[in-house]
Amino acid sequence: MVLLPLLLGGAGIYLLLPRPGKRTGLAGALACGLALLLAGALLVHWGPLPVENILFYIFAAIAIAGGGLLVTQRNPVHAALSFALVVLSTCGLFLLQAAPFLMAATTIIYAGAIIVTFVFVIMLAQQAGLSDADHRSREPALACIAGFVLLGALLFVLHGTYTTRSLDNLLERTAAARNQDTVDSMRRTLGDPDNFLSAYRDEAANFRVPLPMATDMENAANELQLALRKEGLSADQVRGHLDRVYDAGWQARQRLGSLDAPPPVVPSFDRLPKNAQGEPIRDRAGQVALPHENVAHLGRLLFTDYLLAVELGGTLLLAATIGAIAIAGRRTEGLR
Amino acid sequence: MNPVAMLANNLIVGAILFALGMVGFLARRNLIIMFLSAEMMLQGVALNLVAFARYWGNLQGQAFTLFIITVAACEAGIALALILMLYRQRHSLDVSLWQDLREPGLDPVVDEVPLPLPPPEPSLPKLTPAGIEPRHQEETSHV
Repeated sequence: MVLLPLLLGGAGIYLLLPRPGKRTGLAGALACGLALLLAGALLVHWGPLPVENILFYIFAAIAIAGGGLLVTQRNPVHAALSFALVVLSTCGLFLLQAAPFLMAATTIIYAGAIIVTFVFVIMLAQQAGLSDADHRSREPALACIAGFVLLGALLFVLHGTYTTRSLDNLLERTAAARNQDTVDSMRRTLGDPDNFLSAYRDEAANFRVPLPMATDMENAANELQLALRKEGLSADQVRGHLDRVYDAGWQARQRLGSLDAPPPVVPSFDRLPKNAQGEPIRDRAGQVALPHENVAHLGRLLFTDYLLAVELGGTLLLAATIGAIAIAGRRTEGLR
Repeated sequence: MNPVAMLANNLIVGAILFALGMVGFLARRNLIIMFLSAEMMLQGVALNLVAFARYWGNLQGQAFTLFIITVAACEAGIALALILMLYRQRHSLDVSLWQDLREPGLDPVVDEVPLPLPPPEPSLPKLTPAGIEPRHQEETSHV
C-alpha cells in the first residue's frame, strides 16, 4: 500500500519535468496531487486531532508540494521562490520540534541570505528570461527512477521499523477477551492460549522494548498462563490478569511507536507511563522535556561540547569567503 | 502524537525532501536549479536531525543542524562564484555545455527534439515616424 502513492508521485514528477513538445503538465499535476492525497489518507489517523498534528500535516504538505514545484519549475526565479516556500515550511516543522532558535536562524540565513544571493546570480546571468536549457531535462526517466527507488527503500525501512501490527492484533484479542463474561468464553476469544502467549512473549522480546517493560510483559503473561490453567477461578480474576497483559502490551506499544492507528482502548486502564529506573523524565504524553531556554542551552553546548567544531566552522567560513572573492574577483584583464 | 510516531512522520518528510532534491539535481540542466535541489537535500537532512534531537531530548541534533547551515552557506558562496565563472566562459547557465568533462566512454547528450517555435508575431501596421529618433543606449550586463 505504500507503493501506490510512490508510483503515482514518480509518474507525476516525471510528467511534470520540463520537456519540449506536448504539454503533460495537467496529467502530471493530477498524479502528484493524487499521490499526496493517498499518502495523507494512509498516514493520517482521523479522529480528534490535536493542533500539533494538524500543524504538522499542513507544514509537511506545503514542504512536499514546494519540493515538487522546485524540481519541476521552468523559470529559475520561480524555482527559487518555491525553495523559499520549502525553507519556510521546514522552519515551521523545526518550531514544532521545539527548536525555535533553529527556526529563526534557518529563516534568516536560508530565506534571507542564500535565496537572495541566488536571485542575484540569476538576474546577473540569465537576463533574457528562460533559456533553451530550461525547457529540457537530462534523462528525466532515469532520474525519477533513481530518486523514487531511493525514496521507496527509505520508506520501506521506516515503515518496517515503526509498525506494531502484530502487537496491535494481540491487544485487540485481549480487549475482546476481557469483555467476555465467563472464563470459557474468554479462553475461546483468545484462541489457543498457549499460541497467544507465545506470540505475546515474542513481542516482549523485541529489542526496541526497554527491559523493565519487557519484564512487565513477561510477568503478566506468566500470571495469565497460570490463571488459565487453574480451575475454579472467577471471571473477574481472569479479567484482572487480562487487564495486566493489556496494560503491559500498551506501554510497550507506546515505546515502540507506530505509524498504524492505535487499537481500541479499554477505558478503565491507567494510561500514565510507569517511571522506570534510569529513564529520562517523561510527561503524560510520553514526551521527554527539552530545556525551555533553547538559545541559552544551545549556546552552552556550542561553547563547551562543540567548541572545536565552532572554531573549525569559523575557519571554514573565512576560507570560503576568501575563496569566493578570489574566484569571482574583479574584472581586470591582468588578474585572470 | 505519540513521540515515536512524530519522529517517524518527520523522518518520512525528510526522506521525501531528500529524494525530491536528488531527482531535481539529476534531471535539471540549469546550474542554479541544480544547486537549489542540492540545498533542498540539506534541508531534508536538517529535518531528520532536529526530529531526532526532539526524540532523545538533548540538543546535539540541533547543534549539528547549526553546523549544517554554516557549511551550506559556505557552499552556496563558493558554488555561486564558480557558477559565475562558468557563465563568463560560455555565457549560459546550461550544464550540457560542459559535457567535455564527462567520463570517457559515455555518449554526449544531444538535444534531438526541437523546441516548438514561438508563435509568429502579428503583423503591425507600419506608421511613418514623426520627429527624430533619439540615440539608444545598449544595455548589457557586465558580469
